[in-house]
Order: sequence, then C-alpha cells, then structure tokens
Amino acid sequence: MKRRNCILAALLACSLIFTSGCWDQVEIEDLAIVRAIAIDYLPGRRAPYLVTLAIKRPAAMGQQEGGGGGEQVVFYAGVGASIALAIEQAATHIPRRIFLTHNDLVIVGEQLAKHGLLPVLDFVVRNPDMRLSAFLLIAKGTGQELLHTAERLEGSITEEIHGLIDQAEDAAETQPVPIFRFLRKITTPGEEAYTVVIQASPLPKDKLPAANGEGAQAGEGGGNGGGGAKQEKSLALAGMAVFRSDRLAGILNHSEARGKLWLAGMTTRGIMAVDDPVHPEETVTLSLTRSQTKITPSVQAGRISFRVEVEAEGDLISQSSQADLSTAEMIEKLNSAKAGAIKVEMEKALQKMRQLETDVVGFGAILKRREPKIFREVADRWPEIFVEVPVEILVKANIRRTGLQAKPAQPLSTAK
Amino acid sequence: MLEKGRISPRQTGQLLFITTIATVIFFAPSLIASLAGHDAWLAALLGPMFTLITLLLITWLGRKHPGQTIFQYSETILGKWLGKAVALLYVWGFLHIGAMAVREFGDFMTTSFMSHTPISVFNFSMLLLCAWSVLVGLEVIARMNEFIIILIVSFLLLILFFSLPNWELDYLLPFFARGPLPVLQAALIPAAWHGNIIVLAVILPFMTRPTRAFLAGTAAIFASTTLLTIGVVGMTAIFGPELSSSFLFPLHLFAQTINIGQIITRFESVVMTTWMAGIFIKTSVFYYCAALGLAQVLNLKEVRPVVLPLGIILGTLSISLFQDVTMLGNFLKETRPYYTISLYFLGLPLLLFAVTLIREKIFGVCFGEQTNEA
Amino acid sequence: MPSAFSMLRKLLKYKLADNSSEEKQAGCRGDAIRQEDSPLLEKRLDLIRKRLGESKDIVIREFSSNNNQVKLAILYVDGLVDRRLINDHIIRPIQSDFVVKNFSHRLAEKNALQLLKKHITSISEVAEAANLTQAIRMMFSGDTALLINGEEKILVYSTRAWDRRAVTEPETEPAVRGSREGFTETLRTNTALLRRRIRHENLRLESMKAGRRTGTDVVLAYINDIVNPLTLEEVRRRIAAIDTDSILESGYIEEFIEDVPFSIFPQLERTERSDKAAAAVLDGRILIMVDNTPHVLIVPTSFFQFIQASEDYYERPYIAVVLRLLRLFVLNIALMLPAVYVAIITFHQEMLPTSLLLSIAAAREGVPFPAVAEALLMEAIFEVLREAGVRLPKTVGQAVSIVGGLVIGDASIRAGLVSPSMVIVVAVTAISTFALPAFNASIALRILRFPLIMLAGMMGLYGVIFGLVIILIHLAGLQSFGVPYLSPLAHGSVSDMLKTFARPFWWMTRRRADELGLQNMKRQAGNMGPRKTPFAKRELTHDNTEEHDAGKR
Repeated sequence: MKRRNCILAALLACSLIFTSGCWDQVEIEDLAIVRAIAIDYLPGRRAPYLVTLAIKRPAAMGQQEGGGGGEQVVFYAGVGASIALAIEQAATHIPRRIFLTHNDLVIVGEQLAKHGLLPVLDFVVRNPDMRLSAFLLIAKGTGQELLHTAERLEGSITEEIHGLIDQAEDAAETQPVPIFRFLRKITTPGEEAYTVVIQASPLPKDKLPAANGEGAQAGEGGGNGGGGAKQEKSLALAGMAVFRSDRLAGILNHSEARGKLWLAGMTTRGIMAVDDPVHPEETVTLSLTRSQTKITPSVQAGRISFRVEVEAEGDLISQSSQADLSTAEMIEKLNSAKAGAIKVEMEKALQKMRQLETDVVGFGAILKRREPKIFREVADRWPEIFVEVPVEILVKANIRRTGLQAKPAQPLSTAK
Repeated sequence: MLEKGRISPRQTGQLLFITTIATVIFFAPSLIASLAGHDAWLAALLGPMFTLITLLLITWLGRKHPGQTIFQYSETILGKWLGKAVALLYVWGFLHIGAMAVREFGDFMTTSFMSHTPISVFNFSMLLLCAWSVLVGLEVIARMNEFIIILIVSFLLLILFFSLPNWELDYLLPFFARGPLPVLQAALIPAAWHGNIIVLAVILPFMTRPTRAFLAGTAAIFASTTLLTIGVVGMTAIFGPELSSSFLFPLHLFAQTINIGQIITRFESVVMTTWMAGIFIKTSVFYYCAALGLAQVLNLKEVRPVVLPLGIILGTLSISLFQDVTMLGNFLKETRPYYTISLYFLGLPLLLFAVTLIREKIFGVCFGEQTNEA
Repeated sequence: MPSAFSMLRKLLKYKLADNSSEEKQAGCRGDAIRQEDSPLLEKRLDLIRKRLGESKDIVIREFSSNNNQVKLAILYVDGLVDRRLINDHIIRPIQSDFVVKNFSHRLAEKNALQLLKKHITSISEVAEAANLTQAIRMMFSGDTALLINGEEKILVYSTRAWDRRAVTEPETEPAVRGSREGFTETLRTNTALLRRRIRHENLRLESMKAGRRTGTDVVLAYINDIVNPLTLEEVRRRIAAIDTDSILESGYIEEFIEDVPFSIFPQLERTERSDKAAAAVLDGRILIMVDNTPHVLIVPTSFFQFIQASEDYYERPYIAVVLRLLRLFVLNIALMLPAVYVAIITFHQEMLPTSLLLSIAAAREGVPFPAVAEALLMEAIFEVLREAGVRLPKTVGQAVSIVGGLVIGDASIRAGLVSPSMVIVVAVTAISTFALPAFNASIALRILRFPLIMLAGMMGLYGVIFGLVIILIHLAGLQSFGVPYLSPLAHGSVSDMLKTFARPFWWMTRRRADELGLQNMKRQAGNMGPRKTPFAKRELTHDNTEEHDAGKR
C-alpha cells in the first residue's frame, strides 16, 4: 500500500513536470536584447505611436577581434495605436524574441512628451519585463532620430547614451531620472516631475571662426575619416524637461536647471564663474562641492510663503587675473559674489517655473508635509497659487580650498 | 496520537513568523497604503496588535486543555456536534487561507516571471511539495523551516538594505494627516495576515514546552511586524503612498528599483525565491492543520488518508476561488480582513472562551486545570 | 495500469522471498557438518580434516610430550601466524626435557590443560575454547589451537602475525596539519592507534562478529561515561541483527544499519584518519571499526559533519570559520551551479548583468544544443573523465586528464559544440565537488546535480527550488541513530548552531554537543580563558638584564 502510493505520487510528479515546462523557456541566443527604446508620437494618425527598438547584436561583440562583425546595434521600428501594438508590429520583422528586461533607456520624443507620458508610464509599470530603474529621457526632436545619430567614442549609440548618463550623475545641471522616481513625482500632490533632455547637436567645432576652422577640421576630420563634408552631430544632455502632470511644460536650460536643483537641494557637483573682485573684467571659476538647502513654509494669516536657505561650499579652481585672492577679505568678497550668482540662478529658475506653471521643486509637497491642513484647502488650486506664492531666497557661500596653490604665480614681466 | 513529533518553542515561533510574513510582506504593503496613505507604516505597526488578543485567547484555551488541539477542545467545550461543526469550520478556514496563499503565489509567478506557463502548474507542483511535507509531519516542517527562515530573512533584509539609497523619508510625512479612522481600517489588513497565528491553536499541544507558547507567539508577531513595518516604510519612501497603492506585487517592483552602480541590481528573482520558500512553509502548515483537523474530526488513526483528498480540494480551490488577479486583490483588501478576523481569528476563539467561562463559573465544570498544575 | 503494478509487486515479492530462502540455506551450509565432536585426538583430527578439507595452508602437527604420555596436536593457518613463536614457545617447551624433569609425574592427559596453560607454554595470551567450532573460528583469525587428547577444551594461543600494510598517511583525507597516521586494514593496529590517542580507562573497545562466512571482526569504540547509552544499545542491536554471509568492507555494515537505506545521502560518516576518529569518540560518538577496512564508521552523523575537516580544529579558529563558510558555499556550488546557470540562461536572462548576457549570447551563437542538453552532456563527460581518472593507473591518469580536459574541452569549444561559459561552469562545479572534505557526501551531490539540471531546463529557477525543497524535505526527515540529520542547524541549541560554522577556541569549548544526549556534557574546566601574563614581572626581568648588562660594561 505504502509503496504503491509512493510510486503513484512519483509518477504524478513526473508527469506534472515532464508534461509541463518549456512554455517560458527560451535560449539566450534567441533573444533580441533591447538596449534602448524610443517612443514617438505622430499626431493626427490613427496609429500615432512610433516605437523604435535598439537591439544589440551579440554576434558583433563576439567577432570584434576577427573584424567585420557588422553593426553592434540594429534598429527596428513599428507604429501602432498603442505602444504594445507598435512593438508588436516591429516584432513581425524581428527573428528573435523581444527581450525588454535589459532595456534601461526609455527615450521619449518631444511630441509625445507634450501629448502626455501616461501611456509610456503605464506600459512600463504594467509590463513585468520593463524595469522601474530604467532612465527616462526626453529627446529634443524625435526619439528615433536621436537613436540614429552616429556613435562617436563608444561602440554603439546606446552605450554612448549610457556613458553620458553616468557622467551626468557627477555634473550639477542635469540629472537622469529613473522611471520610478518620475512616477512618484507625478503621483504626489504638490509636486511635478522633471527629467533630462537629450539632444543631437552639431559638434562645437563649427562655432570656430572660418579662418581657424580649416586647420581644426582637418585635424579632427582625419580622426573621423570623413572630409568634413557632412556636419557631424553628437549627443549631449541639454537641460531639464519639466512637466505639468504628465505633459511636457517646457525645457530649462543649463543654468536654470541648476537653479532648480539648488532650490530642490540636489546640486552635487559642477563649476560656476563669478567676476574677479579685483579686476571685474576677469573671471574667477569656482567649483561646487557640497550644498544644503532648507525650505521652510510659513503661513501667516492665510498667506503662504516659503523661505529657501542654501548653504553652498566649493573651491577656487582657476582665476584669469593675477590678483592675490587668498586673503580673508578677498575670499569674503568671492563668497558674496558666489552667493549672488547662485541666487540669480535660483531666481531665474523660479521665474521660469512660474512661467511654465509647474512646481518641479515640490513646494506644494513640502507644504503638505509641514502644514497638511492648509495644503488640503489649496490642493486643487495649487498650480495657480504656486505662481504667486512669495519665495524668499537666502544664500550663504563658502570657499573652502584654493586648489594646490594659494595665489597665482607672478610672471616677472607683470610683477614689475 | 496523530502526531508523534514534538517541536520546540523556538521552532514554533519560527513557524508562526513564516506563516505570517511569507505573504504579508509581498501583498499587504500596497493594500495598506491604499487605505492609510502616508500613515501606512503606522497601520502596519498597529495591525498585529489585534492579533495579540487572538494569541491570548488560544494560549489560554490551550492551557485549559493541555494536549488537545482546537479541534478537540471545541468538542470538549461545545459538545460533540456543535464542537465538530466548529472544528470543520476551522478545517475549511485553513483550507481557504492555504488556497489563497497558493493562488497569490501562482498569480505572482504567472504575471511576473513565467507568463506563458499556466497557473495550475505552479499551484499543483507547490501543493505536491506541501502534501509530501504534511505526510512527513510537523516536526520535519519545523526543521525545514529553520533552514528556510534564514534564507527568507536574509534575502528580505538584503533587498531592503540595497534599496536604501532610493529611500526618501520625506514621503512618510505628513504624519497622521487623515486622522485615526483610515489607519485603523488599514490596520485590519496586516491583522488579517497576522491572524494566521491561529495555527498555534493546532500546533500548541505538540510543543515540547506548551507553557512557552505565548512567548513564541509574541516573538513571532513582533518580529514579523517589525519586518513588515520596515517594508512598508521602504515602499512609501521609494514610491510615495499614491503610487504604491496601485501596485499588485509591491515587493517585486520594490526590488526592481534597486540599482547600485549598475552592478547590484536585478533582484527580482531573489524575491521569487524568497516568496516560493515562504509560501511552501506557509501552505504546508495550513495544509497540515487542515489535514490534522479533518483526521481528528473523523476520529482517524492517522493523517495519511485525508492528505490526498485535501490536496485535491486545495488545488481546485486555489484555481477556482478567483477569476482573475483583480478579484483576488479586491478580496484581499475588502473581504478577507473582516471575514477571517471576525470568524476565525476572533469570533470562534471568543465563543470558545466565553462558553468555557460560562460553563466553569456558572455550571462549575472543570476543564483540565488540575492536570495542568499537577 | 493497476494490474501491471500488482504484477510488478508480485514479481518483486517473489524475488524477495527467493532471496531470503537462499540466504537461509547459505546460513545452514556454513556449519554443515554436524558430526559428533569427540575429545579423542584422532577422532578429532579426522573430523577436522573432514571439515576443513585439503587446504594447504592449514597446518596440523601431532606430537607428544612427557615420553608419549600426552598426545597433542597443534593447528594453525600458515601465513597468519608467527611460526617462530609457535616453535619456541609452544612446541619446544612442551617437548623439552624441562617437562620431563619437572612435571613427569604430574603431567597426564587428564590435567594437561591447566599445566600447559599455566606452567609450560610461554605465550602471553591464551584462551580456552569450549568446542572445536570455536577453536577453528579463532584459528582463522591467526590463533594457534593446541589440542590435547582426551580433553574437551582446546587451548588457543594468540600467535597472530601476518603481512600488514604499514600505517601510512590516509590518501583520501590528506590534511596539512594533524596526525599522518591513517587506519590500516588490520583491526588490531587500528584499535592501537585509537588507544594511543585516548589513554583512559573508560575507552571501551567492544568486539562483535558479523558475516557468517567472512567472520569479520567488528569493534565498537566509545567512551563509557560519555556516550549516550540508548544510541549504543541501538548500534549493538543493529549490528547484531546483521545476518549475512559476508562483510568485506565497512560499507556493507553501513548499508545494513542505516536508518533510511534508500536515501542518497550517506547517514554515517567514515574516516581513515585516526585523529578524526579519536575526536569523534571524545565527542561522544561511537566508532564502528571493521576488520580489513581502513575506513572507520562514525555514528551518529549529522549532515554538517561533512563540511568539517579535522584540521579546522588544529589551525587558528578564524581560518576554520572562513573555511567552513567556504565549504558551505562550495557545497551549494557543487549541487546547484549548473542548474542555476541553465535556469538563468534559459529562463531568467534578466538576472545577468548586461555585458555578461551579451558575451554569453555571443558565445552561444551557433551552439547546436539547448543549454540543458549542453549542461547534461558536459556533466556526463566530466563524470566519465573522473571515473577514468580513478580507475587508471596513476601514470596513465595524467594522459587521460590532458586528453579529457585540454583536448576535448578546447576542441569542443573551437568546434562550436559547447559554449565556453558552460565549460567554465562545469569546471568550477567539478573543482567544487573535490573541495569538499567528505567524498561520500559529494557523491550524493554529483548525482543530484542531474535531476536539478533537468528541472532547471523545464521550469527555470522555480524548478531548481522545487528540486531543492524536495531535497530539503528528505533531509529534514532523515535521522541518524535518533539524531536529526540536519542538526544542529535545525533542532539544536543556538550555541551548537554557531559551532557548525565557527569552531570556538579550544578554551571556550566547555560543553559537548547537545544533540547527542550524552551522559557527560562537560568537556573541560571553565577557567581556561586567556590569562594575562603579569606585566610587572616581565618588566622586572627586563630591568634586571639591563642592569646586568650595564654592570658588565
């Protein structure tokens, strides 16, 4: 009896296992590994979503030494009434199973961003293959064009974007935003979302005057193998896209973006220039190493106001004059100049935000945390209130170090 | 005696801990957040306190009836037929909760990992494992659990630890903005899961030192409450209450956000492993309780004959109870807390407690007190 | 279907019944000749010749003493005895004039036994066998039987001496630090090795016999006032219950006395190391030493003993912690790595870092087999290589490993038959298998690897965990002589649990393990902790020398 039961159970188990299985099994070489996905919106069409998938070709990697591996990244595109349908259409051309789990770049075209990001976010959260830690980027122009920009330093355009994002984490102006953070911001009352704008822009070399241009172009052209006939473009992070709800409200440029980050207390690193206190026509460059921002809401007689206190630390990294700036007096002057510059940036940013009617700093959320009752009263009208709410900005700057030299070297000719 | 094995107080505590934490941390946080918002963590912290009442009742009843499970002493207290009815109600309760746990797991697997595989594969293979462990007995389940608990706790802590950089504690504010009512309502949700310590009423007589039952239960409740609260705090700090309330499997998305320097990332499979191990123990315990209960109601000599039929019932229930994930989610949020707490976790124990008191005080019946002290 | 089952069962039953009856017959044949034994020498020798047949190695020598007054015969097996001992200390004294001179009037066949035993022969170990069968049995262990005409009892002298392997370093369990004396095939040598390590009156070496035809000596070694008496009784009972015709290796006994014989996991630890065996005895375990086997069995056993090596206890405790954790890791690798690899690359590709995913995908491009088949194939090839390596003479083994490892591995990658990553996985697994101190435990892991790979290929990580849970249920249900197999990790005190992974300093190890239910838990005094050398004293001596030096100057 006992033995028979055992045998039966074993058979049952075996049949369960052997007859099941293999539904989700897929060999690793049968995957189309998506590394970036660009989503664009084509207004006025019945199938407005254009999805471009950047798929990595593993074969190209394996044959790097042998040469002739071909393109590292292959693009497939499809259109549809929804993102999933567009991908479905693209899939008809892809001989492998689309594998989205390793995709950590979601690039959204400007048009779609203006139209609204909800379909994108919904797709990302709902689909178990899409990762919430993927970065959301807004492309100036269309995402598809952006992906088709030729790569320069890295092996493929997706790696190029990754590199830019990694670098941006150190720079102050533009910070890449993972999707879950974006989602959190648009769902939190009194706060609006923002993310990075990426742009394919012409290389800075053509800004040089024509006389010097030839020499420079020849020098660089050799590296590119081209005669410089076609204008080279390269990707760059170009500011901060700010949203009103899920729709793109506008784009902050670099200094405005930094002003916004000052306000939100998120500045990490970067450099800024102020006028030389001795020779006002010269420039002193300062670095930003650490900063602290404190926002305190206050409500007096029903009037809401905010006070933003910023404390910024930094080093002196270069100066163009020969003045000795290492004295206490000079440092004090530099400090106040720096504080002024920061305050200007912050005010500009605030002005732009008010102009766009979007509270990306999250003044509303701060009010909600401190004064939940008052916020509940104004929650519905917050965007209008935000535009007019007074914000007092106090900046305190400190220059901690002056690099490896205290005062500039004095050449004999000028020392006389 | 149907069960020969004996388990130590520590093992009991661990079993109770896993039966509660195994599902509550995977499912409950978003449900709690949807009701309590910013104060979700408070609800998570308060909810299990309800369960202390259940714990007090069942340890008290257990002390009155040493060596008896709830199925047996319900007969002693309420008389043969009413007692058997209560016992059968409990058998059904254990089956129902077990089936729900299996279903939750199956749904998780099919939505998050293996979307092409039918849910029945997961449900039935899981139940097969559970059936085997029920056959080998409580002592073996407890021993396995000592292994699995290390796995589960360390994986959960790992996930929480690596998600720390994403936490923004500002999102926990404002504190207590909506007042106490939503918090109390939300507190019922973790309470519904923590009420799972009702299995103590079945395994208490098999403890080596039944006097330690209350201690073991309290320790289990506090441990799982702590872990759940940390989880809820983390989830609120990462997603904010508004976003997290929309999630089906919050811990899975929670793990998805982990990304430290592109290297420490992709923790979803860890979640799956953890959950599978937890569900295995939890379902085994409930399955075991149901099987033992049925065997005791039917006065069988051993558990063996009822294991297979109960397994089939469990499997069928786990598939047919809910049409889809939405129904499961709504049930977990809206029906389950009231149903389980009012009936199994508080209602029936209170009934047994009251009848015992009445019979003792008014009719002067003595329930095994003397033997306990002797 | 059911009918087929019952047929099978009947067949099995028939087979079983058949076996048992055969066994009984075999048992009977052992003492087939039940002819009347007689004290008369001639009749006895006749009977002996009949019973033992014409074996050339059995020497029967008749002689007489005291001027033919006493007729005697000695009986021994050539090759198992020290002949000089027999000549000089049995035959010579009996035949010499000394006997005639001193005992001529006293020595007759009636009282010969006691006289010979007490006064004449000069061999230290003498026993009296009650009957012939007993004497013959002893003779086969190398004793010499002295038969006296007319005397029922037989004197048996211990004259054992045969060619034996020297005590050498155990090859299967080498250690960097620790005794290099391994057990040998000779039981007496082994017991001596143990005695030399535990010189205490309570070390008991209890003799038993097993195997009808082989008549193998089995010795239980334990310390009387530590061992759990219930366990000891159970071991005795199980060994006594063995009724078989042969015990050639301790493995036979292992299978006969295991709790769950169908389990794939070894439930008895075995060792060749004398220091390990002694440590086990001191821990309160019982050794089962079997003649003709250098492998000694240790009961009860828990699974985690397999990740412990004897030098853990000799080197600094810190390294023991590291090594044990490492072995635990290695154990998991050896069991699961190929399965997890298969699961990841066919189901859970999201778990891999992107660059690794790409390089594996690139390497697998063009490989004809699915990953499961590839893994099974490579594992099978590895097992073949390993088996070939064990069987072949050492000189050829080298060649096999070169051909197998280098040529096949390299060529198959170049030919695109397998992917390099799979070769790496299989190789790492193979090495991990050998990093485990216990060979018998790693066998179980090697076998279990295959079903796990198959499960992984069908259900991914879910399948792997499914398989692991099955293993866990099995392990958690196992017991070795009443001790849970997974103890102390499951079912044990917290300090025992910690001791599984971290051995404490010796001066901290005050108690023995709880799980064995020992009589005597205390291992040593409690005040053995670190003591400060009086600082002042050291300073004083230092000063003295300085003064001394100064004085010299």
